[in-house]
Amino acid sequence: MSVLKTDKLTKRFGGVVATDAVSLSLQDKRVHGLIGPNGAGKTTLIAQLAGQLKPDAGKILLNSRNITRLSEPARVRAGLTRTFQISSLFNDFSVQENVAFAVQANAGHSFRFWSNVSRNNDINDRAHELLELLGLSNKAGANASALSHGEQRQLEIAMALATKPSVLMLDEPMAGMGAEESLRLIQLLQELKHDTTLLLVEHDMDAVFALADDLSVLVNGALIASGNAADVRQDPDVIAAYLGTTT
Amino acid sequence: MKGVSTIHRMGGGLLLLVILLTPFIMLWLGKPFWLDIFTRLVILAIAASSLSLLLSVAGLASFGHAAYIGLGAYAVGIPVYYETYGGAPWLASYSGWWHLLLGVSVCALFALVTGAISLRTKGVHFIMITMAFSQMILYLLVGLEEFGGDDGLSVDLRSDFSLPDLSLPSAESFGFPSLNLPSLNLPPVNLPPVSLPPVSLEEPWVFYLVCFALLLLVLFIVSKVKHSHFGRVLQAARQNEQRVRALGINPYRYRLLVFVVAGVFAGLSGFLFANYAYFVSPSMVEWTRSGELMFMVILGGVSSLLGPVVGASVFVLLEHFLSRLTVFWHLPFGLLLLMVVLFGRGGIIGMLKRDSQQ
Repeated sequence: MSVLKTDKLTKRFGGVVATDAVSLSLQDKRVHGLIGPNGAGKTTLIAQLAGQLKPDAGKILLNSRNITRLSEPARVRAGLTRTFQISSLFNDFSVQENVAFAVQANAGHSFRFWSNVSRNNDINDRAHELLELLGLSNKAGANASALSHGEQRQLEIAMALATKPSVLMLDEPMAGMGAEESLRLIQLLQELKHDTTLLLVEHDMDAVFALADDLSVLVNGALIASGNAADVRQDPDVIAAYLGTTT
Repeated sequence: MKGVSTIHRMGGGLLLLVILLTPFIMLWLGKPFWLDIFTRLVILAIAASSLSLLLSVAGLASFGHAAYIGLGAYAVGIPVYYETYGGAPWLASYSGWWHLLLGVSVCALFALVTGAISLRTKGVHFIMITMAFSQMILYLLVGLEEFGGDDGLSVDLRSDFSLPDLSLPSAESFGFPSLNLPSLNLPPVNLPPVSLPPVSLEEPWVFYLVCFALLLLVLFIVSKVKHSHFGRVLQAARQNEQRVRALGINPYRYRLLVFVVAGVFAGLSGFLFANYAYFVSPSMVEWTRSGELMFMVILGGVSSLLGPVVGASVFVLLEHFLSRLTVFWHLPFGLLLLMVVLFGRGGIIGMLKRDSQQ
């Protein structure tokens, strides 16, 4: 079943076609890898799916509902969440507060003015679970800006998970991670697959091939192949694109 | 860390106690004019605290905060003027409850409308647009010839907070202006009045204590709001708006609400200013006034609840002492601000905290 679908999604920046009539379909509870050379338009595509960029043409459907005109926060509430290629954190907050805020953001409205949010057990318990899951418990009290690069990447994912996404878009989650951290993350994503649909943009091909059930290849804003990962890997166009011999 | 934060809390309590008691001690030492200086200090601290809600908590650099002080002040000046000299019976009154209701409503409405527009902009644009709205109020007040134009308007007496006279259930006795409707001509009730002694703001000590109590109330609310769900959203949006949106919250409505709350608190300080000075004038709304408030918040330290109180205290005391030395007192004053911004990140409180941690 298709959970997230785009129909001829197109975005132009001046004369450059950043997204060229992309029709993508993410199947339920599978990992969909999105690969392509630098500048192929992967991040631009994610920004449109997340609602940060408005497409010039085409449609985006989440569970058959047209969300093309929905604002970014509304899409998150509908279950579509992204992470950022460059960790996007709250640097004055502690690690715990970062995750707690992400939990709070998805626990009803925040027009509550009197009770101390840092003493809210529901929020703190959930935040604790997520920190545990990402192996950040021992850093809970540290300032987010004091984390190592790899730990910041993990925090980034913990925050995205706090939104309880049905579709999670990961923009290069392994970028800059050590081998051990990468391995841990791959294991985590394997587990996540049981109840979440994942769109994985990643340059680490080992990770992509280890995780992706389906694969799409983006070159110059256009999809040149999309489908079962094993099939796409055999596709001559894809091999050509990755060998850098496209015309 | 826990010990340090206890020290800070005790330091804060001590600071407030010193502010509360100093005028009384000075009176004992035969210098009663300090009451006047400290009343002004406390009123400015309320205004600065309200700005800190925007500047420090929400990261919104509003450069038009003085507009609310002016609106709150004219909400005292105009009803008192009409009550004294006649005219506009629907507006005229000496009642403090009416002045407060009027000031709070006008400030809330002005903040709601201007905030709804300003908050669609960011950075320098936000600073300029809030300043522009405040200039609109300035020129509006200058244009009000009946109320003295740019000469301002004397307030003949302070707001009256007589408590309701329990024997007479008429509109006036509740401190609200008479509606003068014929249908309200109730038959006279011949009961002895059991009214409580009126709280008179004309008594300088009473007025000072009222101002101080309101400062405590504002600080308490600011502190509560800062640590609430609502405050957490504002602080997160200050640091990284993009991420707040990516977590499913549009910060706009939260910011609009805090903009209104801050406007109302600044209006409260305007209400007190009019009563303090027996005078209102458009100069209260000049953009330099808004700048001074920002100065106080930054000088005191943006990360701390009492930063604006420290900032307002240093501002008022330096102004007092420096202006006795030289008429060019703004120069050392400006240099001081530069020093604090350049060398003392976190303002005066930030510097003190770093010392106590070493």
